[in-house]
Amino acid sequence: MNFLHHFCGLTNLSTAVTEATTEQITEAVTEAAGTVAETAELTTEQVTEVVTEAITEAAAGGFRPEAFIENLKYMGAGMIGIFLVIGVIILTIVLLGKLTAPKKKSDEEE
Amino acid sequence: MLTLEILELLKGLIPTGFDPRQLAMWLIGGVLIFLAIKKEMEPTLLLPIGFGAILVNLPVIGELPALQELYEAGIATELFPLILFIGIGAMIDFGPLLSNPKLMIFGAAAQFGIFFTLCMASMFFDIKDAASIAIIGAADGPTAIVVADKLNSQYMSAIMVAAYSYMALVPLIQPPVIKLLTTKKERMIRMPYQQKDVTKTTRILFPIVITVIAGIAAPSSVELVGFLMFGNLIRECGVLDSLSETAQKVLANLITIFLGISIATTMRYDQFLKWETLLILGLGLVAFIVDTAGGVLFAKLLNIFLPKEKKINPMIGAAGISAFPMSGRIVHKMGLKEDPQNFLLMHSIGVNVSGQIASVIAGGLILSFFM
Repeated sequence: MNFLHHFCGLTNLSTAVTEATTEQITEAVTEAAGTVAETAELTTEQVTEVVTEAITEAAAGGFRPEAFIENLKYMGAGMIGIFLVIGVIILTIVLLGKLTAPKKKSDEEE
Repeated sequence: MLTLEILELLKGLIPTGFDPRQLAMWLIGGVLIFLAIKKEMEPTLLLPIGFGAILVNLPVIGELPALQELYEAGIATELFPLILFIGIGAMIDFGPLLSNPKLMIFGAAAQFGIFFTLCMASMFFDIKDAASIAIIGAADGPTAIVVADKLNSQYMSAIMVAAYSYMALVPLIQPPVIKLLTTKKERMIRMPYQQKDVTKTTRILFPIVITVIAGIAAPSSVELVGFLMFGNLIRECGVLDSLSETAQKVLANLITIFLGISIATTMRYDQFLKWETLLILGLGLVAFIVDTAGGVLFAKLLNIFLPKEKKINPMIGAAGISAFPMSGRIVHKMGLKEDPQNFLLMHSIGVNVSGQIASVIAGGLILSFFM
């Protein structure tokens, strides 16, 4: 229940933040902070800090399915990067092997 | 409307005395200890983490200064995981890989789960946290700690518990995925092993050369690669046997003790018991599964282009995750089960070892993208 509650809470807040103006957000934060500070025995500044963090988190998130597509570029760049580096390492090992291989004795060749 | 939404989220600030979530953390700590002792799942890490979880959630305890100091000294500075890498490097024999370097390509393919999980996690978390979560797929504790710390992830404890738990669960996670993606005929493909001598000069030059390449190609990984390769150089040089033995045993064990108990400082109920923890555990599992699938499917792709007598047993692709040597042994056992004459161990261990290097490179790339 807590998981769903928080998840839905953040998603709802995200929607509300997106639809509100800056003045509305400031007014709402001040009102909520004042209400909670008294009950929680905290200063308004402490509560405001928590609220600001929550707003930032909400503005950044909730569930964003489009982020999967947006970040595919990192998948592409990452896999290409790994294969390139590993490819260079493979070539280096092969070269090392050839350079450090013991030379055949000339009398064996004869 | 907005005020109501904010008030809903702030309910957790109201103090209620002893928090029942602390009891939940004792239970979680107990479960980790049980898994470590009874099931022998990564006991070196899960036991100290489990005990620490109980310790930091005792109701009359605030912060524990000693644990906090350990955390600041070893985790926040990334010192503990880097020193642990010296020990790990000293334990690894790169011989099977050096005799057949082509196997490294599967180590690369098996890191696919990291980047897939990055995209998945970014749907729920901001990008730096998503990257920290994705690195669970590296199947490498020190890399996960360093990346999560450098990216300032707030989910360090969940990431650690997920990483080490799933590393211990590799024998349960990998076989079903491998069986799902391969046919019996493919699992029975034999890969003859021809031992090639690797000169001592190659063994000595290898760690030095790899460090240089990593430093140039992925500078963010140079600390991790450098410490890993330093440990390996101590092992291979042949003149530092006592240091090599110390690094493999005493140093690794000492750092592991401190690492496990100091990670526990992040296991406070208010930091750990969040819905995000469950999500991180789920995403970590996805990372391991997709890693395995990535390695196997890449091997199958290569087989399309290879002649019949040179086909690769696709199971060895799964050994490309960094869970060394467990993953290599699992693939070997699965091969023997299908065909008692099919010895895949040298190939699978070679791939497994390459996964150690590839996972560190992946960690470096993740850091270069997001730092």
